[in-house]
Amino acid sequence: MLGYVGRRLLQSLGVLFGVSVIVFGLVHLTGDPTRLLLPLEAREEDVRQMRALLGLDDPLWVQYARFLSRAVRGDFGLSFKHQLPALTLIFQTLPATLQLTAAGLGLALVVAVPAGILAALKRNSVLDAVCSVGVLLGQAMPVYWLGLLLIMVFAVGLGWFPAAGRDSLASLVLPATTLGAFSMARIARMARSGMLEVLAQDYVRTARAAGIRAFVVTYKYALKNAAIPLVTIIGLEFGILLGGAVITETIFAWPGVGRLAVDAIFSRDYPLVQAIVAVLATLFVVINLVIDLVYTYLDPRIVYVRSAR
Amino acid sequence: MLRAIRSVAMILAILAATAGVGLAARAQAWAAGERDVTIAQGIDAEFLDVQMTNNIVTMIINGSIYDTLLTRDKQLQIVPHLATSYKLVGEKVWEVKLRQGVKFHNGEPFDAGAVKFSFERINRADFKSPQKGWFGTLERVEIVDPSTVLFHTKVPDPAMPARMTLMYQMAPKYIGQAGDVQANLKPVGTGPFKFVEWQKNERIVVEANDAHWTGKPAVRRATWRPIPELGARIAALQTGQADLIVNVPPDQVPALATSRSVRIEKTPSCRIISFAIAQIKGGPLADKRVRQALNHAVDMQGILDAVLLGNGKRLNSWMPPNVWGHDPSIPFYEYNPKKAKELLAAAGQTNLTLTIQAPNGRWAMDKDIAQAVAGQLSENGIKTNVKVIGEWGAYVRTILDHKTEDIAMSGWCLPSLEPDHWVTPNLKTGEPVSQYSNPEVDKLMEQARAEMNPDKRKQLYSHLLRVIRDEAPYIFGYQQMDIYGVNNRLKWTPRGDESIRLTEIGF
Repeated sequence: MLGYVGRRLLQSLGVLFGVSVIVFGLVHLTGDPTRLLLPLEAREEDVRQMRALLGLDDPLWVQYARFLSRAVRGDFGLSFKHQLPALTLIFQTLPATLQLTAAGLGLALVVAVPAGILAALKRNSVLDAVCSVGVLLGQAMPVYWLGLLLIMVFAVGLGWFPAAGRDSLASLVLPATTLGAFSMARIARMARSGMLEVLAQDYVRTARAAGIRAFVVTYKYALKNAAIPLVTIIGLEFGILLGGAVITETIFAWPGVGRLAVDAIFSRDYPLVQAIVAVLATLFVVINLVIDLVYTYLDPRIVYVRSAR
Repeated sequence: MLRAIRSVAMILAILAATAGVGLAARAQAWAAGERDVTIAQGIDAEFLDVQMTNNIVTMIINGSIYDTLLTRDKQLQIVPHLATSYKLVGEKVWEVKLRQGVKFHNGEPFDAGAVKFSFERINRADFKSPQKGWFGTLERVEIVDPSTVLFHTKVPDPAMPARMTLMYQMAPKYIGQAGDVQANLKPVGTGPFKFVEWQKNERIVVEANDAHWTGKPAVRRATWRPIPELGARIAALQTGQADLIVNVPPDQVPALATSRSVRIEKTPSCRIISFAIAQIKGGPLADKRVRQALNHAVDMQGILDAVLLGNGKRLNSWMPPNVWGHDPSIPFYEYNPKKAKELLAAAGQTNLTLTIQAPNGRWAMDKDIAQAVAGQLSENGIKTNVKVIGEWGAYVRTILDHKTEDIAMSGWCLPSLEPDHWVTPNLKTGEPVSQYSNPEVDKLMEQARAEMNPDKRKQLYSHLLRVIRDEAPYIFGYQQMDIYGVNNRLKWTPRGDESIRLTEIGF
């Protein structure tokens, strides 16, 4: 097992290295940030001075080497736009995004898993139909539209929740719902189809035939096995939500990393973009590694061994 | 099965804890007092070190914490502020007398040393300030006594008073001890409000500085919130979460105007929008008659009424009335398709095809106005289409590289409100933003820039603007309307320089 974890960690490092190269390349392709940092009418000499100060005059590979050597020591440089350490800015805003993502995912799970399972159990009933429609809506509704709709109805219309910002627990409800809607639909579908597949298995039929009560069959035998792929989905969803929170954060003025990232990209704030991608990629890799380990805990049949040669 | 439940339960618990932590602690809703205001703009302040920015939103927020040497009153006239008087004592020397008894928020005194320090800081080679160009004519600051300084300029500079309205005063001892990074995170100024806290992208809170030399502010505490999404910003106004919001688009005005708790306030902005004709490209556009024809072929007022619902005021030349130097007697180009055709025929250009480039979302209804202009030109015999360049960085690139389409939608406003800053960057040969070149006009600009006598200077600008109008380097457009949404419990009217001053808010 330790060998497996070790190998996965090494793989992760490889992934992160690859990500850093790609992001570095992409971000430098977007163009020169100096002109966006200075007023339109700035003189050429001021622009040249700024470029030199920001280290943009060196050849690309020198800039990358400098970036990498500092990054491994945790120094991602100063954000061009904010003139603050990039990591500091990220750690200031990451909690807000994690909060939002956790709330969105939590909400999605609490609603979608029971719904999906019930839909599977009561297949082709009215409940199942309602669930299907819900899933369709959840996946079809644009996040942007849903967010504004929720604000119009629940903030302006009913006045139950604030329209924007991050003041209190109440501020979390609308953004979490908006963010979680798409995941809710996906998770419900997965839960339903996973459950249906398990219910069709021989061992379930056997259990039923052996006279075990339906309740016990459902929860002890079926659900337990259906949970396994669901746990993998949770890991992936977390990663997707982490990235997709951008739109939700913008609509609700939620001070998270997503908004920071979009601003950084439009301002061509190289250090900040690189730092954000590095941090989020690391987070994603770690979470998926953890999920894979939880996988073995859930299903004792699964053991990570070196493939036989 | 227990394992599965335990795992899922653990995951949910972790999620709940992550979500709840910190927020429960903040549940203490900001006890908004009766004399507190919340102002929602579109973005957060970039810096709270005012010398690091040239962004209008950032400067508005910083303007509550820092003071300038001179300032502009509600009518945009230059009046004393931290400097009580200024006068020319030599062709290139200004004597400035400073207000006595003023202290920075940390207790250190404001004096001539602070003025010298503030100027030299911007010009430090390692200080990344976008304001260097604003004071490019100032060579050095000489201290005469603690309340008198001399400004030595490199050339005769009649714009020095305008520049002094942008000279924010920094605290030398504080910055010397705390450093530049701290000066940005915990700003210290002489302003009517003191810094309380800054949560990035969330809020900036300032509280009244009752010891300020202008007196006790009516507002006790102000919160600046960035709400980028327009729908959410308007909703925040309607729910009372924000008391004042900016950049309400014209089409939202009717809805808010009927509300009982909020109202719309608007004012013609210093920001002007026009369509720059790339005369430097040569060809048909180098012919003045063609450019004049384009102006006659567009019914600008009609477009403003239809697209902006009247929220725009036509320009008679390249300067709004908000800027000193503007001449209201210069005639507008009248909508006259017949005259346009005649001019084109005289120039031998009866089969013209043009492209207009426009951004998307940079200014209110920008793309739509460009399309309306293109539509009208096409109706009047000049086949025109629109190229939308959505990303602002790329749009700016075309302008700075002088590789724009035939016509480029352009906007302009500088907080100095100094006439030379309107004409030179946009129309002088070789300037970064200029798509026009005319040595005669260059000479007129240089003359007006250097004239020290205000009356003579005004005449020179009148003449220059008339020539510009005649030369038609633009399809002259309009002055934007700054449209604000205000809660009715506030007594406030907007300014013509895009600024919001907390000291101008009452109840």
